[in-house]
Amino acid sequence: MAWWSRCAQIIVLASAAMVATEVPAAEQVHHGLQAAIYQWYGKLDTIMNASHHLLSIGQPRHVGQGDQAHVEVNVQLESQEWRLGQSHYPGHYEEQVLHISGTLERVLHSQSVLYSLDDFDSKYRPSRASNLIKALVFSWTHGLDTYDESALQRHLLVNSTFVAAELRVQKLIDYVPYLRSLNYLKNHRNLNKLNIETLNIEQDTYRVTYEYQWWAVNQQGESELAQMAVEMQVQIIAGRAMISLYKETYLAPITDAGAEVRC
Amino acid sequence: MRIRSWVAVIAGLLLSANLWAAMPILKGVGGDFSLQSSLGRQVNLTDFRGKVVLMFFGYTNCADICPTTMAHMSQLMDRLQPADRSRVQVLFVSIDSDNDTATHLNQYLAYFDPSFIGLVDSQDKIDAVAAKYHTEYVKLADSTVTTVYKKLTLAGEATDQQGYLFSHTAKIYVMDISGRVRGYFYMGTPHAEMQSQIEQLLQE
Repeated sequence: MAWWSRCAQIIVLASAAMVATEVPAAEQVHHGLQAAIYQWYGKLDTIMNASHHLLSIGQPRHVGQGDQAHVEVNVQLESQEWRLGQSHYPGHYEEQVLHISGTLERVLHSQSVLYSLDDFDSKYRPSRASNLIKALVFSWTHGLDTYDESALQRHLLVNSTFVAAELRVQKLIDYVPYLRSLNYLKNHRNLNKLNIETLNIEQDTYRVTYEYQWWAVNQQGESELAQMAVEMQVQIIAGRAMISLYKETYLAPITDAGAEVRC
Repeated sequence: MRIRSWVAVIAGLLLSANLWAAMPILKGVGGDFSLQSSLGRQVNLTDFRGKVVLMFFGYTNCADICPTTMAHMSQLMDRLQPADRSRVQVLFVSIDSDNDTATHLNQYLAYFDPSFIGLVDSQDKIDAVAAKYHTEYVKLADSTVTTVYKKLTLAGEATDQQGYLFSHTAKIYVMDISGRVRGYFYMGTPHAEMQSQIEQLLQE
């Protein structure tokens, strides 16, 4: 058999195998890293009385070795500094390199690599609550990804309400053992449709909704897919967003847009 | 010769791109149920273990998507090898408990394929199954609908009746041999894709 024919056969078989086990198109996001970045800027917002709106977060780069090992991430952001009595604010565009601990869970410091003052003014747009809430959502998801029950517990207020999608899970303390019992070989959550609505500005309380697509490979090597809807009630206390209500429900996963057409 | 070899490699890649990914197991959708059937007896989803089940929620007075979808599935059945065909079961769940009867469903489905089974039961039971499968439907019955209904109805029939339509989910639920929902087809899914997916599921 000619080499090219053999080559074509191998490629066909390899591609078929790839297609059969393909991960649904979603960029693999490190939720712990995202949480650390949003918490960093949420904290800066609080300390500096400013706003930091993240425009993009780059891919992490591992640099250094041994004790010097850390991760660098480029971020693009737009910031404003709040001043009493001022109605219009100049925006500051910046690109920064964040130096992050090797565990990807804490920003050590930032370094500005590009700065530009906007040539227009705009109204002040606060970002503290949204940054802290995004930090919470990503950190919570990271806790689910890593089966870290104590990390999840730290996000819940005392007397909080927890409702899981699975009827057999009554409390958070049952949730992580349930997730572990699934014995997934790998799994990933892809977040979308995040919406934050202020409930009470004085009490710093918010209603947060989002969805996530949860993809996993089970012990039999089969792909599993779930679409989850999450509703949270959140209060910001001492620079951290905390959960007073968590409710998760199953939605029907969308695998083919055509099948969603209604008659 | 070199050009021919590259053509073969590219053709191989294009061919492989046409293969469909294995359907994932969908969590939080589906589950067992027990309903009255057009066979004149109670049917459980568990009765079809070992078979791929294609399930559709519709109603026999539907003028468009239900008959089109059933025809699409009938054509699919004709494409399958006899051995595979015997391991595929089409279920039509009626969302119109007020009007559809087991006998009526039997006649309707026989027109498409005598092997298709219709399920009809009390509205509460149908609602419970629909909720498990996240299927949605709502009955529309007003003067506008009646006007359209009468246009669609054969002359002389049902002229005094108030017309009604259901707005409903139009997906075909695909369940594997263990009764797990693996995805959806619809009347626009190419037969070749449906056949390939069913053959993969039957091999599991």
